[in-house]
Amino acid sequence: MYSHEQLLVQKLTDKPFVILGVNSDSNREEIRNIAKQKNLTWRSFWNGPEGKFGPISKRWNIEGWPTLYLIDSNGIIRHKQMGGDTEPLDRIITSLLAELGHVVDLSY
Amino acid sequence: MMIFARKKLTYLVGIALLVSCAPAPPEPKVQTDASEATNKPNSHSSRPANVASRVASVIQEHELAARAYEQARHGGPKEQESAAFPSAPCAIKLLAIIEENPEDPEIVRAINWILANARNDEQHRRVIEFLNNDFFESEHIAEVLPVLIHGYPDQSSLNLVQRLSQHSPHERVKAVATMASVMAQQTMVRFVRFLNKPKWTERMKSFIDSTTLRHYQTAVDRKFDFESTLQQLINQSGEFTFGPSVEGQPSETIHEMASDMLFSIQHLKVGKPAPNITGTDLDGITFSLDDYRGKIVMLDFWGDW
Repeated sequence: MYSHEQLLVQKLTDKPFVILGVNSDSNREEIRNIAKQKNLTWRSFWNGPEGKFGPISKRWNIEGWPTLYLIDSNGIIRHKQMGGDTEPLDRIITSLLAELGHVVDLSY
Repeated sequence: MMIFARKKLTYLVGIALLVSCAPAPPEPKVQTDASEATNKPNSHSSRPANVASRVASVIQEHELAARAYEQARHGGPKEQESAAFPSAPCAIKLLAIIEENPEDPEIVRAINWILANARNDEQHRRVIEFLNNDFFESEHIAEVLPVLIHGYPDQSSLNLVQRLSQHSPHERVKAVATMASVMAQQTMVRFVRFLNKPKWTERMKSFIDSTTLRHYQTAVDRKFDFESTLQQLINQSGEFTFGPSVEGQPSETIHEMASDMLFSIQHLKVGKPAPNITGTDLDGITFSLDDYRGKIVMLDFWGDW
C-alpha cells in the first residue's frame, strides 16, 4: 500500500490530486515517527487514542483496514473499497483526472 | 492484505474468544470476562454454580485435550490450527447439560460454544432445535444471537433470528434479533456481491454449502429494507445493548449501532457528498477534508499494524 501511494504522489505531483490519511494507531508519537521513517509524506488525520475505535472511523462506519474512498473535486464520493487492490484505484483516479482535463498514465 | 475487522462484529469476535477452543493461553483480559460471565448472579436456577462449573470444566477439558493434540502433531504450541481437533465429544457433553437444564441461564455459555465451534456437527442442528422449541421465550436467548449470526449463518439460524424479532415476548430480545437480522442481511449482500465477481466466485463458494448459497441469493433478491428497519430500531430500541462489553470497549447500544449504520447508508455511498472531517494531523495541526475541495482526494483509512 505505502509503495503504491508513494508512486501516486510521485506521478501526480503536479495534478489536482492528494492523498489524505485517517490514521488509526492509538499512539500519535509513535506513528508520527513511523510515518517519517517510512517517508509517508501525505497528511493524515489522527483518529485519536482509541485507535480503531476512534471518532472518525466510527463516523465513517469503517469495518476493515485499509478502507479507501475516492472523492472528486466537487466533494462527491465516487469510489469506495475495502482492501488495498490498486487496479480499481488507478483506473478511477485516471478517469476522475480526465474529467478535469488531465491525461495521465498510471500503468507501471 | 485485507483485514476484516468488522467493527460491528467486534462483540462477536470477543464472544467467540470466550467460547473458543484456542490452544494458546487466553489473554488475561478475556479470562476476566469469561469468569465474570460464568459467575453472573442469577435467581432463576436452583443450581447455578453447578451448571456453570460443569460447563466450564467440559470446555476446559476440551481445550486441554486440543492443546495436547496440537502439541503432539506439531511438536509445539501452534495458535491457528486447533480446528483439526474434533469438536463433537465436547459438543455432546455440553448438549446433555443444556437439555438437562433448559431453564438455567448458565447454559448460554454452552450453547454459544456449540454455535461457535461445532458448526458441522449434529449437535449444532440440535442446539438450534433446542433454541426454537425450549429456549425461544427465554430473555437469555438474546445472548446467543451475536454468535448465531457470526460468520456465514445457515438458513435455520437466520429463520430463528427472524422469528425472534417478531415473536419474542421480550422487547430487548426483539431489538437484538432485529439488529442481528440487519447484520445478517449485510453479510448476505456482501457475500453475493463478492460471489458475482469472477475472481472471487470459487473462493466464496467454498465458505458455505449450496443450500445456504441459494438461500442467500433469494434473500438478497428480495431487497431487504435497511433504512426503514434501522429507523424503526432507532426509534424503539431505547438503551438496550447488543451484547456484553468486551476487549475494553464500552458496550454500544443498539440505538447507537443503528444510527451509525443508517448514517452510512444515507451519506457514505458512491454519489453522495462526502461528510466533512475536521481533525488534527499527526503533528497536532487542525485541518478539514473540505480544505481540499477542487482536488481529487484519495482518503485512506490506515494503520501501521
